[in-house]
Amino acid sequence: MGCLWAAFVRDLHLLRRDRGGLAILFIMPVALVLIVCLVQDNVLKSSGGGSVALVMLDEDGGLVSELLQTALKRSGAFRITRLEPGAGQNMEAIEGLVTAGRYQVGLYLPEQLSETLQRQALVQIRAVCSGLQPPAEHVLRLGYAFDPAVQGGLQAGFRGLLEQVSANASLRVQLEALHTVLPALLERHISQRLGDFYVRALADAPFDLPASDSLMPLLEAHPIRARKAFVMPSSVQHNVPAWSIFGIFFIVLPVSALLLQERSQGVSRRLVLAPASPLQLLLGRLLTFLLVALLQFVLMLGVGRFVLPRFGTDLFSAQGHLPAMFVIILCAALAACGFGLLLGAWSRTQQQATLTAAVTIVIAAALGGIMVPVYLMPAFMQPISLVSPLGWGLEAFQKLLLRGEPLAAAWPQLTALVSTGLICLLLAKKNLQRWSR
Amino acid sequence: MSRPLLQAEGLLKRYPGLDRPAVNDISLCLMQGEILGLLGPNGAGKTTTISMLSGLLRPDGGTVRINGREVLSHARSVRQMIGLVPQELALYPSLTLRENLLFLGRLYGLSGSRLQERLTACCGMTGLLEVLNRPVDQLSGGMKRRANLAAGILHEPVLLFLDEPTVGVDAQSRHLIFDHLRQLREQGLGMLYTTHYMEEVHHLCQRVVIIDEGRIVAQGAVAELLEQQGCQQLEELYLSLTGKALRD
Repeated sequence: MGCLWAAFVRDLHLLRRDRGGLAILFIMPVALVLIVCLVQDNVLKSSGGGSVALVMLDEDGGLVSELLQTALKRSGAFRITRLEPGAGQNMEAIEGLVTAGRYQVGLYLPEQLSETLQRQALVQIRAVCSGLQPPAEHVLRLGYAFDPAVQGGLQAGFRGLLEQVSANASLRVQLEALHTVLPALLERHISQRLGDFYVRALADAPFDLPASDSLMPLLEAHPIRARKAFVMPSSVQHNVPAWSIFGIFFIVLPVSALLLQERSQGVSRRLVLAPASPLQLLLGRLLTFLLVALLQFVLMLGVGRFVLPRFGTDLFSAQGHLPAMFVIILCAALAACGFGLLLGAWSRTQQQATLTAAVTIVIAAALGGIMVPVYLMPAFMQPISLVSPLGWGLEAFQKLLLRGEPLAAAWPQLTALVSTGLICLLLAKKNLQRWSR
Repeated sequence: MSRPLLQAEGLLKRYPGLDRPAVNDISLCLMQGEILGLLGPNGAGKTTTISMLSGLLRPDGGTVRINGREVLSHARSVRQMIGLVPQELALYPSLTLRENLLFLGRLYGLSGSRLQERLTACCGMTGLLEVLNRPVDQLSGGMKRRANLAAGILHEPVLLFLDEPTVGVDAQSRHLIFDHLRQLREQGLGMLYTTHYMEEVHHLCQRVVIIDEGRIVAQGAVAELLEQQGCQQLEELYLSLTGKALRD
């Protein structure tokens, strides 16, 4: 136990002296979380998850305009800039602004759009009610344009919104037309079929179809929220845990570097000759870096809680899972430290260890869904992602934070992380003996 | 000299891929309060021999006893009895000398006032008390060598392995180190001293063992060996036994 404590204290001193390395350990993950959260926050916005810049030239001002603005407002996805109709403002101007990338979406409502729509609907309904073929009217159009850089998901969503508004507007004007046409049609039908008596009766009490704007929708789509803890995934909710794990795995670098420095400086020979258990020495080092990992995570939580919201992102929410999150971080840190010790024990040079660590971590991060969600990967790669320890950590976090499951639900991932750490630790211990020769 | 501290008999070590053993039938004995010089050209088998003597390497044949205990079967207690002053600095450069020594002392089971006492005694003997709180990489070359020695004797070993402990050290520091070693010898510490500097062996060691190609080519008191071979200088004797051909 004394050796373990001695190794722990020694490594704290070594870390304290290596301020550059320590700064990287803490600044690198913070920078990653900050940058990636903000970048992805913006990506989410441009794919419909936030506030998309929309420029609108509304020369109509009628029913279609009213329906459209209500729909846009309700979606909450758009930051609308309205151009004042007038000299130089036309559909081409909208297209120019969008193509130049100043706005992601452009919208043009031509003059008298609603009036023309209402007129055409009346003509159409009259024709249909008279048993005539409706005249071939010119189809009216709403103009829209997308910034070429806008993702397909947003384009499809916005087109869907326009189609919904168009269908609503058409239905509304057709109902209004029917409302206008129906009483006269009924009177005519009654007089033809039942005679003057009823026509006179109708003249005393004319048929009136009350119009109402208060018709409620009969069917609507509704998100299923089976669990109380359900939280919409945001860039912060995904990236704070994801990049915390990434940062924690970078502990591999100093852990392996310390072992290799001990070997190159001849200290390892002295250590192997001492009556101390190699396992205790390794565990002492492990303890130091588990502490570092915990501090790293506290810092990342602080960034998610206090710094990122200042840049307009969502607030990171632990949703009462804070202790469970620390358990996950400890398991991930154990795997990372174990791998670092193994790498340090197996590598011949520091350069070899550094390169191997950096490449392995980045590949494991990519495979594990840290950078791109696993479900977006090609089908053949998705099973490969199951072997990434970073993916295990992320999956455990997602079970907690996004799916509202208890920590126990993440036992396969936690077991895998702890097992990896312990196996690496034992293999590293086995390799320690050969250093001294 | 009273009792044997180190006894090695018939040590044999083969490495895969080599046609001859790295160490072949080496037997030697080191008494309490004796400095035994271990000489040999590069690749002669000195490092392999020291590794087997200190229990770091399992021999393919032969036995090693330190203070009467078989090295491999009593590894833990034997390690408590031996100290190492390697050729490299073998200390953490970014830690202070105090932090280095406290860490090493704890590995050997020292703690509290006993550890502080030993730390003061070792640094006092090697003249390093004033630089205890200085990071090791800020010490001069001679101070680093002395710090290495202080680290090797901190836990009061009975046997000290010194592997070229004066490489790159100026004459003043070397003399100081020799004084410390003589002082330790007088206290009863046994030392196995390897070096390429013949005059160091001449000044320090009572006996020498010269090995070449894994075998002992000469062993005995320096004066006796010189007389037997009819040589004036140890270097002359050494070259006559190991040849002048360049080694690895």
